[in-house]
Amino acid sequence: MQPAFPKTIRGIRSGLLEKKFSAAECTRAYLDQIRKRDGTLHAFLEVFEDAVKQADAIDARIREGESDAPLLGVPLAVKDNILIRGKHASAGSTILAPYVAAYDATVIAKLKDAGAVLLGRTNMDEFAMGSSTEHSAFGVTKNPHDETRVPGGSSGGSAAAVAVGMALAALGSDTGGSIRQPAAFSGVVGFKPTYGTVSRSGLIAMASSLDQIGPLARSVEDAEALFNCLRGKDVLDATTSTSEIRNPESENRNFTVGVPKEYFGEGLDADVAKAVRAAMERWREAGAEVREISLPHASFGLAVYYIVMPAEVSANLARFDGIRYGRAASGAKTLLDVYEQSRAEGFGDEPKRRIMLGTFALSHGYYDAYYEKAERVCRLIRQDFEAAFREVDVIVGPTAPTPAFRLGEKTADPLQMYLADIYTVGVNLAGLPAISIPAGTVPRDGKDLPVGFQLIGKWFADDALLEAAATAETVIASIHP
Amino acid sequence: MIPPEDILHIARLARITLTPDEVGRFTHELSNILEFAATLEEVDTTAVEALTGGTAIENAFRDDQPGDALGADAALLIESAPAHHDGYVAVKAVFDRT
Repeated sequence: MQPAFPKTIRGIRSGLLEKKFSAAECTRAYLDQIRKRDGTLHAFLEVFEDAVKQADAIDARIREGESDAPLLGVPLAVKDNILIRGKHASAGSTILAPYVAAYDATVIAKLKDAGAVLLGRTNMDEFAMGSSTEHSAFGVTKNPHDETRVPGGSSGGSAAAVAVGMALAALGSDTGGSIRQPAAFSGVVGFKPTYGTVSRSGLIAMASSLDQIGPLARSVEDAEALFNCLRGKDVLDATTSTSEIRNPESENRNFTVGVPKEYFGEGLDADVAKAVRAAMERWREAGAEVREISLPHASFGLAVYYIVMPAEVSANLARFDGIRYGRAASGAKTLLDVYEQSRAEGFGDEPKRRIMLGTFALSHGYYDAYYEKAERVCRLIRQDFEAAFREVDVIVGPTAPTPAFRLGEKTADPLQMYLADIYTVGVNLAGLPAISIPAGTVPRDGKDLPVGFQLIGKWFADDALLEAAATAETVIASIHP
Repeated sequence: MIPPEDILHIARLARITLTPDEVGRFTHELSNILEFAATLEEVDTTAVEALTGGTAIENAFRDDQPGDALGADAALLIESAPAHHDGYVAVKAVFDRT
């Protein structure tokens, strides 16, 4: 049974302020739901013992007259690669299993100020590398809609937790689709903001030119409420920007919607295509102008990503050396042994694969052929989007080419796994904002599996994108009541 | 196909000891991924400038003043290290004397 408390941020805030219930009661209901469901789903790596205590402190803040904190009493889950002072942060990896964060990530400090209750940390692919959460060193998370299937990844724990009401919303991180793709597979909203809008201070870095923190939630409105707390310039992340484009006009706006023909090509599941097309058609009937567009270099996005991302991974993960954080190999005799053995024992296959791939792509003799080439094609991918956004307000398509696949289906073939991100990586390479919203379900083996509808916005026009997504959400609700 | 000796060289550069089984597997997997990445050769990029970074921000300055960024929490950073002693991170010897 779902907790009998409001299922929106707005509802929880007003319920608390009207004294219909306390933050502690609401938090206990979520902890109950975790106890009931997480034994099989395994979305959480840890449920915080102090969750009710945090909620008591929120109740005290309310008694003292605080009423304007935007996330008052809202029970949230946090992906395991975001630091919370005094809590473990393992990034789903053995090498960081004993690591305890010494400080709060900027986003965590903001959530605490905003009155949120942090319920626990959620499972993820190791160092956010994966599309299924199967690469976690601490076991798989199951898809709540079919427990024989993956929840998507890498923020699969966050997505599964939100999908069954074990948290009202959650934080994830998105380097190539890691918020949007699990949101699509698990049937929730997942928003990756424009690169530079949300501070990554305290996020365990994967690929720094692509990483962005964002919310997973039950609705666009809740995702927006979270984003509004998280956004803003931060001196601790030099890439954060003050740029921000507010909506010029706001009511009854008819959007010009671009549909890239490249997003409906080979590899797209026919049922997923049908669900996405139905959503677009209904939106057109509701007043949107829908245009076919072309992103000619879209098909090269994944190849660019699998050069640029591992290159940055090889540099970022050099810091996990058995010296500064986490666990060191026992029995190492020299300093070099400590590095080589700690990393051999501490990293799983996927991080090893990507570190080696990146080391190779950056090595003497191969740099120009791989890395330089990829960065040039990356420019062309960005220019495709620039040209498209001169014609349209928002670009739409499927979030992922298929519904959730089976546990174990793709683990033996890394390339097959990588293809799950084919429609999401281009957004990260170009630094754009994008959101996945649920667009109905497709039947598979007697189960109904969610489909994700992706909307991509212009640079720093996150507010306009969220407005378009809220409109699309309403439109889709009229097809799938 | 990357030769296995190159895989061992890369692993050495990346500071990861590989088992013989891993050498075999990674030789195969990395070759497949690089073959996939080689599709980029189809794109004419002669007149294209590389896009680096992810942001258009060129320089992000702050005042050149020493601050107390972590305050009392600085000790926690040292304690994060697997081995530490008297407020210092402890490491193994660089050379093996034996």
